[in-house]
Amino acid sequence: MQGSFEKRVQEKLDELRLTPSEPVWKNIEKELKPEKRRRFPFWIPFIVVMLGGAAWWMLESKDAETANDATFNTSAPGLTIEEKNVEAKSGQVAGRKTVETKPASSSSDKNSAIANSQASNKISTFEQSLDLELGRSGQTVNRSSVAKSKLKNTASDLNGRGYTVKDKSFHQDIIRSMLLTERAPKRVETIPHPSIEDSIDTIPQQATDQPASNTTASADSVVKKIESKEVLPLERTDTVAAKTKVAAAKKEWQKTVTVKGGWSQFSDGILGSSQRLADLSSSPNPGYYNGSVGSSNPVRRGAAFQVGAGLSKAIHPRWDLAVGVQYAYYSTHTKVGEFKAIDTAVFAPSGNVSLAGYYRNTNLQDYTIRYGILELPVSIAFRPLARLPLSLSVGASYGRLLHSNALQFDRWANIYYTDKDASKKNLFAGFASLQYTILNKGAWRLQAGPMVQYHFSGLQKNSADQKLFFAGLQTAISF
Amino acid sequence: MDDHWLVKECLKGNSAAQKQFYEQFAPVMLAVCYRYTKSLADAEDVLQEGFIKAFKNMQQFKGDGNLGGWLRRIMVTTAINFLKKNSRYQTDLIFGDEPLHAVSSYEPHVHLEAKELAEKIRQLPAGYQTIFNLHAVEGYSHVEIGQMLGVKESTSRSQYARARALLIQWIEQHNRDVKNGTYAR
Repeated sequence: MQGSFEKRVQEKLDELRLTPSEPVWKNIEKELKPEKRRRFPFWIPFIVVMLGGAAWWMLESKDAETANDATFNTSAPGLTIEEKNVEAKSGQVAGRKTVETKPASSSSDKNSAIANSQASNKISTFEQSLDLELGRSGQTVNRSSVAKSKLKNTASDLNGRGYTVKDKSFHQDIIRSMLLTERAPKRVETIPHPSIEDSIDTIPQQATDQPASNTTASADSVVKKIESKEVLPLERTDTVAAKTKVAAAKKEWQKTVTVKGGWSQFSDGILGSSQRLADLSSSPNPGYYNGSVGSSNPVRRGAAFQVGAGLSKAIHPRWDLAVGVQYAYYSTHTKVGEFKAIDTAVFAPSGNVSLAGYYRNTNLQDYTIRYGILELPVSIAFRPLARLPLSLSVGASYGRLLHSNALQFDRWANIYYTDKDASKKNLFAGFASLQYTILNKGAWRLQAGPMVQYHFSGLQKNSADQKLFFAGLQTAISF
Repeated sequence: MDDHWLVKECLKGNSAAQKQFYEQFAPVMLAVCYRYTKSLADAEDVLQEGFIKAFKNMQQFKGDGNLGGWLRRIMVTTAINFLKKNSRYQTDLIFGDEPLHAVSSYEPHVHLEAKELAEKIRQLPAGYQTIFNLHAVEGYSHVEIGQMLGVKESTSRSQYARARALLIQWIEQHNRDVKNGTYAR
């Protein structure tokens, strides 16, 4: 029960009026009309993955379309027309031009590759132009029947040697080998179309660079295709040389683009549970110490991602080595009070730190601590089972801090502040991941799986605590 | 100005009404917050948080009571939560099981100005200060205070008795100083 003393106290205190300072209403108003907070754009890694996937899909679709266009259908009715008949019919076209091929004397691999490429283009033009001209002359010959007829013979020959037609480039390869490995100098009749004349003029010239009598020329060409992964050997590769070259091709460096997304958090050790900002204050600041000490607010995990590129190489049938460079973004969340833009100083282990302002530890609001780090990871991946598309990867990385808004906490003053000099610039981390190969088409490979990363170096210069931990999903595209 | 109209406009998000609401109640509410804290800055923090809570929960005001009283309860609750969260106040808010301290029936005259009286209350240890404010000024029972602070009813009574005795002692000293002409404002 309240007595008269309490009533008098109540009456007195009810008279009291205090005028708040201006920032109070401004802060309330700001809170009532919150600005659109700049959140971490989670969609960026997602978009990157989607774009990568779309690009891969388009490439695959294009390959499939090309393969369909170039399907070598041996049961096509057009193939029943003999080459000599076509030649006879096309010979009725006036103004024909005759070019004679010459046996090649010698050539280098480089020249051979150039010649093959150029010859491929000319053959393609030749096929198209031949169709056009046959149409103009009113012939009823099935389109490309000449080429198909030749292809049939040559493909049979190559099939006998263990290769199977896979795509248009191989298709052209067969044509090339057909032209380059003719038994004897041959007269190639061309059609008097300006572009055709230009094209055909050069074919025999390129052919002269090839060893026409060398029956392994086409096999070499095929091996080159295999090396560049344009075609795949199917049932068998006969020659030891071809096998060696394929193995060598697999040991080439592959380019890799990696995107990782997940969350990051502080830890005071691998199994540590402390999730607060480290207190680096060494002694009370007389200006702020009021007889009690404060404690920092809990730190919650935040979004994190890594985007990078690199190279990988098979160093053993089951071991891959990878190196790269990546930008890593890590964040955590905590709560701090409003910012006071007042010049002050705190005592830190490194000496007095002059501040242009600080965050109070009252009336708490969300604060996102961000780190941007350029990292150079080196890793090694191991496939435990040859038939299972699963690999375990472990590695280490060196990182250089690019930017941060990390907070320091002073328990004596019970304030938070930012001090760039208090953060370590060089950071070392270890990481591990489990990668599942989702797609493996030719030279393209898409892998995804979980990964974890732990920074062995603390984030603060004068504290072994506050180490970053990152966990998430990793997606890698190799080509 | 009709409180119901003000609340209705605030609920609509009318910024002019919100500011009017703030200007109408802020001086009184800051005085309330001031009594619970040790600094004006802390009081303003509590005031700010309390007003934000009030604006965000204004639909809970049913209009069957006094708007100022409703807002005051929000401020008091916010102040208590602030004290519990803030490390500077936490140690003083840990109450042990102390022997019951009888409340003195002595009731001195209070010649202090309102601000001076508030300052005296603020000089009490945070635990005494909080319980004195809640019981003597806000009128909460010791059972309610026990629930609010998570202490036993007897602890609240004991703390209040000590706070009251200490405050009376200071008021008497003030009265003597005024009488002897030694009090300097």
